[in-house]
Amino acid sequence: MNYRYLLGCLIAAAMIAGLSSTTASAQADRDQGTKKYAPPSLPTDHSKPAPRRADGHPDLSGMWIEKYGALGTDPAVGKPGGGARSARPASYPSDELPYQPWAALKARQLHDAGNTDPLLHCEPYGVPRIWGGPHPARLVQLPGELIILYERDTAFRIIPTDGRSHPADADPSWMGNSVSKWDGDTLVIDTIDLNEKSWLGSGKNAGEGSGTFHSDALHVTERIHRPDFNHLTVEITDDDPKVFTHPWTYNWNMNLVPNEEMYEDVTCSNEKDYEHELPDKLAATDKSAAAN
Amino acid sequence: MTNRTWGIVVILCGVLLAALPTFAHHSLNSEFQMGKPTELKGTLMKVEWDNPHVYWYLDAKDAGGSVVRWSVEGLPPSYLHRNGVSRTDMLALVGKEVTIHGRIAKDGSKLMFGLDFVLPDGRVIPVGPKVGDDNP
Repeated sequence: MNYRYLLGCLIAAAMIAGLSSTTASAQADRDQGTKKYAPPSLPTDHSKPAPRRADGHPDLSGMWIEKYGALGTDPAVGKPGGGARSARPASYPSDELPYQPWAALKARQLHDAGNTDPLLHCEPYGVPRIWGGPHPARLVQLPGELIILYERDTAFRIIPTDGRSHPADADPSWMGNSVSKWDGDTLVIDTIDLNEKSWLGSGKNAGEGSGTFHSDALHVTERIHRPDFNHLTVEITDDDPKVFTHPWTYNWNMNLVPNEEMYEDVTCSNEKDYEHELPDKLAATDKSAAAN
Repeated sequence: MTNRTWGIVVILCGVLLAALPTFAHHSLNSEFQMGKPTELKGTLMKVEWDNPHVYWYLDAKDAGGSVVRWSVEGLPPSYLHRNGVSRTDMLALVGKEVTIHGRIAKDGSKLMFGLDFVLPDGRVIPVGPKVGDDNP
């Protein structure tokens, strides 16, 4: 191996990284103005314990948000070669999910078609895609039930917490049928009877669905835990034996936003993207799925 | 250069690319030329402060000097409001000359996804996601 080439490349890469860092500072400078374009700071204290209700269970009530980020400017402005960059994902987001080979191929085909996301067709997020991202969820814990108000989609769920079973004849729906029970200090929500129209999102990015379809056999388990006053963890397990090889689990770590308000967030009032979406085929990286 | 060396360079470049933002509640890679930064200069004519995307309409001159109406798509009102950009701020810009940076549509239509506004006095209003924010 010619180490002089390697050294040269590393120096070049370091220079690019340095340039990136410099332009990042310039970027921050561009964002500075007479007004601060960022939300207020969040409480981060982990020492204050979660409140408890009279029945002894933790009180999950509050306004919670997963992503509370500042706005940003165009990162390419003033950057030499900025036009050559691409924000396209390096691989299919659906490849993060343990799809059976035929299902992995179908998910890629849905991604490549470009206009298949249910959201583009004015359809709801559904469970579990409704969680995560920059839209808060307001949890209201009452005796015997938990009410969840989602800013995203302007949606809600009313979930019994009294340990009852699912009804035998629930209609399939976007939010499904949910019941719950306590496992120590964790509320475990069990959801079935979901229709097969929604997409799951990925564990990293609920908004970017990219073909993450499921079947009517989807069974979602949400384990909600409030480890301290300011934080809430929603651990989600998606089990769908018709399309996955095994259940898979991911977390949304949410912060309390006590002074935040909810805005209307209907899916389709001004959705105009559908007519502009074109096929967007990515290069396959997972040979096992491509071979099937 | 050996394959291994090229591999390291590719990885380093990949790390740099990973810092770029993606957008919105569904994939926009099928709709916008994410690798092609674009600047529009013109008069802001109209603001649609609505879900799931705010739209701005800009009259800009093309290469031949003709005025062309552009649509500029943005994040949802809640995301903008929560970060200090209000409907009132935006309506106050109607009729003014602005520069908007963003990414134009793939299909050739006069459509762009907006990332920031530059006002005549040089002030910059960010309207896109922060770099590295992959789920706005």
